[in-house]
Amino acid sequence: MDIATASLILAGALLVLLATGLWVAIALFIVGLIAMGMFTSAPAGAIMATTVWGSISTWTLTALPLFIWMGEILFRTRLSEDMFSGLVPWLTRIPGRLLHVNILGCAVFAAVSGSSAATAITIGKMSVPELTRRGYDEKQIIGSLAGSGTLGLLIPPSIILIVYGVAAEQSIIRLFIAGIIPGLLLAALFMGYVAAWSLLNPDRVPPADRRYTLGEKIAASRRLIPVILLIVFVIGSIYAGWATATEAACLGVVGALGLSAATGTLSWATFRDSVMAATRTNCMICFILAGAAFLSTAMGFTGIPRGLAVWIQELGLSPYALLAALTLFFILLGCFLDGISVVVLTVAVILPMVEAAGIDLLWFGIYVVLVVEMSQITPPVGFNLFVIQGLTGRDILYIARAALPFFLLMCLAVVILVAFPDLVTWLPELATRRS
Amino acid sequence: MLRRTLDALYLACAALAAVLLAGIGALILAQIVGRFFGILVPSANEISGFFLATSTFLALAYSFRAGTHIRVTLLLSRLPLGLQRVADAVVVAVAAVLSGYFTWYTYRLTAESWRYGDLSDGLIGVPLWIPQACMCLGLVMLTIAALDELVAILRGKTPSFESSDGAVHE
Repeated sequence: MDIATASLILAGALLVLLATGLWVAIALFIVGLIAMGMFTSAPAGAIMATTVWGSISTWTLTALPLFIWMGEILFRTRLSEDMFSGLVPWLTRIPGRLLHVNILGCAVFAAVSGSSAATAITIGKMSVPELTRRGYDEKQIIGSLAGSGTLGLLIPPSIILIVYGVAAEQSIIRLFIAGIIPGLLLAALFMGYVAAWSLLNPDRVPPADRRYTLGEKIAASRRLIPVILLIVFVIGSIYAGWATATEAACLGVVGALGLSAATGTLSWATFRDSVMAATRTNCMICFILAGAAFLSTAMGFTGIPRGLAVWIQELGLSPYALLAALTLFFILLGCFLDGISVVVLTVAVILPMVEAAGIDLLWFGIYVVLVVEMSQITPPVGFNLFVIQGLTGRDILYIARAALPFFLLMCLAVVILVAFPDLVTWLPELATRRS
Repeated sequence: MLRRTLDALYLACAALAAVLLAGIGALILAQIVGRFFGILVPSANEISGFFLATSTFLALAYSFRAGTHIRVTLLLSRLPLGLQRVADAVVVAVAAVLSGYFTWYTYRLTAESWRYGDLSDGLIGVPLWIPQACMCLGLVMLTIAALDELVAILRGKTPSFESSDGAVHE
């Protein structure tokens, strides 16, 4: 059987399995089995068991459950209240005022949690009712929350970057460091847009309630300071090379438990709930990774990824044209699949093609995550849209329209990263050179 | 009676999975603290990897029923309820078959590790069959959970992975 026909059959099988509502991980296993059945007489079942065992029982992956757990602990503290009251006094004089709470709050929480849905809920459950009560424009409240919620995927420690790192065999630490500048860039773009919008529509932004003195500002954010310190500590220890990603995650868990105890929210019930929630989420992600690991191995037997790579080389496509095509493909895929599934599928099938086109795999990781972030706010399947639907009761199309400007800003960020790849690669190189 | 036994089994496996997940944190912490005092925690890296694999598989059945695992319900949700249940029954049956197949080969992997006495790398050679048997147990439970759902759907009940999932994905 030639590779083109086989690719079409496998892609078709995957589409049908997913469309019928089969669980993503199980669909990956079955497509892997079909691929092996078509191309090789190697014992598929035995290879499945060995590959899965090898891919999940590795030490590099242990950063994943720990970072998930850290987010779950902080999710159960008073962080969202503290974040709101701590940020407000600083923002009353900036154009756009409290709308920036959404963006900054999400950026800060993204740095302690790795999940964009958790980020949007934690910030949104406080900011949406408060901003609505103060008369801010609903569309801007929803749009800025939906957009900024996605920062959780890019600002380290990011769950999805760990998934990419493990699947693509890239250093998780380097990926984390590489995500810092693009994450800040995105937050700056969002803040700039909100400020510009507010200057153009001054009548739709409620006036500041009052001025705060510096002392009052600091007093209001005193509870925020330990969280900021925790972030600086976790990211800093990775950057400085003191700790591996797993160790930093472990210290993050300890710090989160300490914060939770200090603010009086740590109890046996919240502790147990946080571990159970982390166990469930970790299980879900690792099972998908297991399916992807088997699919990758099976794909190796078929020769499809190599075939695609050769085909792209023969086409003589420039990296820019390839990236443009891939961006479109990912956004399309992201309309139906969640981010983690998109990333593992990508790694299983198209990574050799990307490598053949001469694209740096570290840079590509950040690029993929950014594009996957965009897909989180595109209907019909975008986790951030669902979360905000739960918070506001608005329908998904309304929320997607409100988020559209932020979607376009992300497209701009992708263009910037393609034009200036150093934004991604400079910081990791600096960190490597120093240590 | 059977219902309560099964639910207790799913929960017991999940509780063990949670303990193992917290155990990863404890192990890594011991390693960090130990380094300060010049004490080496032997094989911490290998063992934390085993904890991770074991935790993942033991939590499968429980998280499957809790609706944590991701699937695309875009098309399904537009079908009339009757057809949705038919589709649910089909995918649950497919999941049960795959899980059973996977269980069998994981059992063979475990049996081989047992027969050859395979040990992990590192200072403490952990017999590989121990964590692999836990992986196998997790898959057995997943197979049972899938069959459990199949029976429930055929009896006209709402599958538990649908009834318990809210608008919020963690």
